[in-house]
Amino acid sequence: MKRVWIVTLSCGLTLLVAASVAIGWYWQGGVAAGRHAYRDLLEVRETLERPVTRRPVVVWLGDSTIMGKAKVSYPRRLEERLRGTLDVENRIVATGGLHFESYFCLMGAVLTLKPDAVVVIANPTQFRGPAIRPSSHLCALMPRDHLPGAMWRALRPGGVPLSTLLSLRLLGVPGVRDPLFFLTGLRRAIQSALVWDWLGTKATEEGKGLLVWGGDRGDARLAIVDSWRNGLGSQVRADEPVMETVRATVRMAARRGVPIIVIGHPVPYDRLRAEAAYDPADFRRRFPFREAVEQAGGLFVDLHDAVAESGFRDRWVHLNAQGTERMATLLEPVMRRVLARPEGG
Amino acid sequence: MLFSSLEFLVFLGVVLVGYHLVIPSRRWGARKTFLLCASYVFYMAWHPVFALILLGSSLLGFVLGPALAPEWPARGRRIALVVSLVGNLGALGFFKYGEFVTANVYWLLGPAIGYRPPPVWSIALPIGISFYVFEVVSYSLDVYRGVLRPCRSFLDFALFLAFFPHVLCGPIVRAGQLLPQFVRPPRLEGAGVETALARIGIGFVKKVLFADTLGAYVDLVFANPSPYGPGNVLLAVYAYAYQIYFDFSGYTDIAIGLAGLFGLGLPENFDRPYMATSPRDFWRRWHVTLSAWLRDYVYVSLGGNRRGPGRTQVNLLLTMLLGGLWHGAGWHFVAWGGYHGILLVLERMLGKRVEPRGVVTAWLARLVTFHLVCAGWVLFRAESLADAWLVFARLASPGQFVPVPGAGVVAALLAIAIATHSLLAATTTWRTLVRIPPWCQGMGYAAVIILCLLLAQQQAPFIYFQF
Repeated sequence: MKRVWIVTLSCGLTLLVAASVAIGWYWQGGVAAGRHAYRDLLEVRETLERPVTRRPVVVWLGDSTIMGKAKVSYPRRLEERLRGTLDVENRIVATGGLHFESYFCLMGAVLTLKPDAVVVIANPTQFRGPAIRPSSHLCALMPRDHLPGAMWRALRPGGVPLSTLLSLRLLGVPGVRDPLFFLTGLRRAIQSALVWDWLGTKATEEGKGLLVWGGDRGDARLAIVDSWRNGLGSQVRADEPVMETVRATVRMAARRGVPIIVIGHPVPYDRLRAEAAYDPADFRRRFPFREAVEQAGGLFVDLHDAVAESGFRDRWVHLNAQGTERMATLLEPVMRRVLARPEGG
Repeated sequence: MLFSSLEFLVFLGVVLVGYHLVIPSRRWGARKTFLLCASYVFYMAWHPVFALILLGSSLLGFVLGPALAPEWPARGRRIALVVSLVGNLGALGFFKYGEFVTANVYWLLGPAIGYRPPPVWSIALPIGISFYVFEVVSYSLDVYRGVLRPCRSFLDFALFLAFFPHVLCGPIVRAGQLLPQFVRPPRLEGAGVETALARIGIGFVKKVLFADTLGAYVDLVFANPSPYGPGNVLLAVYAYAYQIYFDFSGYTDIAIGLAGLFGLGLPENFDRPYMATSPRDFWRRWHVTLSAWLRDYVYVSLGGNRRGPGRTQVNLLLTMLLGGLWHGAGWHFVAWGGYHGILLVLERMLGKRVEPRGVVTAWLARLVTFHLVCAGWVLFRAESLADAWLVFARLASPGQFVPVPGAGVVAALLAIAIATHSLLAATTTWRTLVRIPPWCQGMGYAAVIILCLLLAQQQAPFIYFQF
């Protein structure tokens, strides 16, 4: 057994030396990179922990399509429009790449704000199988009483593993957070090192079955790269875990009596019609949000074909001022109606 | 809790310290209880409710075990066996094949029921169920056949099924292999631990460095083969052959190594499968514990080769079809099993005419067998028969090699893989490793841990997790 102890000691010492070198060389950068990787967690935590200033409060859960200033963010634009008649506080809990798994993780914390309504963005481009940004770390924000329920939920096939759920709680512990950020930052730095570019094995998020729309590059051509079926062409079955997550997310709010609206985010349907097969009925069949949302007690507002191509500013279905205005116009009566309900006031 | 995750590293550290340093070796019962609890914690990390199914299967197997023994009346034994098989295989059938069967029944009844869509069940597949159900079934059949005495200790029986190194992906352990090891405390020797560490290290290198890197290219091409040339597709098929081998044999190495850290032994699952000179030889080398299970409990039960050549061939085909279906509820898995069944039948029909004689013909036979196996992998990897057909069509159509990022690295890794697979016997690598100075080994393992922590794709579980 003496040899085994030497192996163990040598392994431990090597790890210690490697860790010391890495920390000495990259601590600041690593922590910063890790913090950046978890920026959505930190931003979202900040947004959720801010005290409520006025009523009614509407929490918007969404991705990058609702971020930014009022010019390009329809929740903000809507807030401006409603000011005067309904002094709503629109709390936007959004960051790039969030999707229903993230919304489910966050809903418990959102409900602790006792919102008058919750609006969730269903961006069809986010439904292409595995999430481009795994956001299970957002479960670190789950209220403690919500954890047991989350363990049973099929966030992904088999659910968010218990070990992940529990270990990510450590992100809430200040003494542990920085080392975790450092490890994540170091992983990121190494995985995105130039050497992988040279070897040609760097895994990029972009181009993996995404809808690539050349509009922002001047050629104004819609190209469906690699797999139409994986992007907007994907078929989301009603029994898939992601749809179960949609139902669970909506149900959580509905059970607490909080009105919840799910918005089918616009896609450039006219361009799709021109360039590839597009049929509204087929689109709705492939993204069966309405059934899932209404079954769970929510309200589904299908706006997937509400904005023409000229209303988008890039290929990631982000809206420009025109598209934002159009969305605000369409949603204003919906929000007025919801907030006028007795339970909404 | 993937083996390559930080969480598992912490879990393993805690379990090793608890087992070896906290509980004295003379308290073997306490150590086994601790291992059982740790195994259930590990299993529940995926989904707590799945542990109830594992526990139910353990209870059913254990309770019915004594009633299966030869000293009981034949009628009672038969009833106990039927209950055990129906209970365990029923659970497997429900969880794994429920949706598949319903969808196909609805499809068959289509004209009669007005093409109604099948009901949505949304059944989650409890991880590892295919493996532990087969282990309980083998135990029940062994006791029934009088090969094994029924287990008297529920602790031992539950640990046999739930022991964390093998509960998720095998190897499919027979009760006769593991239960006797639980009778008295195993002797943990330095050489055994060194070998175990070497196997764990090699397993991780196989998974993280080879399988995951090859997998990225395979996923790209198999997702949509249309834009690629036949050269790309062929490279992807070869890459998949080695990806699945490195992935599964890497897992097996880690599992055997982990068991070794507790002084326990698990059976081998691979013996350089791509060195096989025939399809039959391939199945003696690939997923050995499953092949042996199918042979002993399906093929032999169907009559084996005792009922004439015609029936033997039917039995072979049926066994392989079931083997295909075991891998997943999909027609492409059935087709894969059927394809291998046909290969085995053909080999049996051709007899000695296809046996290699001499070195050159042996290598030629290896080359042919490897390509036959690769054709099967296309059926296995594709998500449907239509997708598999697309891959075959692309392989047969003209076209140039499309430069794809990473193809060079994939080709280089494949060259290393083929060379090591062909030239090094499986045992050579870890036997060589344990001969190097211990301080050097320690540094190597540290490098492997760093490799896993920094490079392992946390979203890339082992392929066989889904089965």
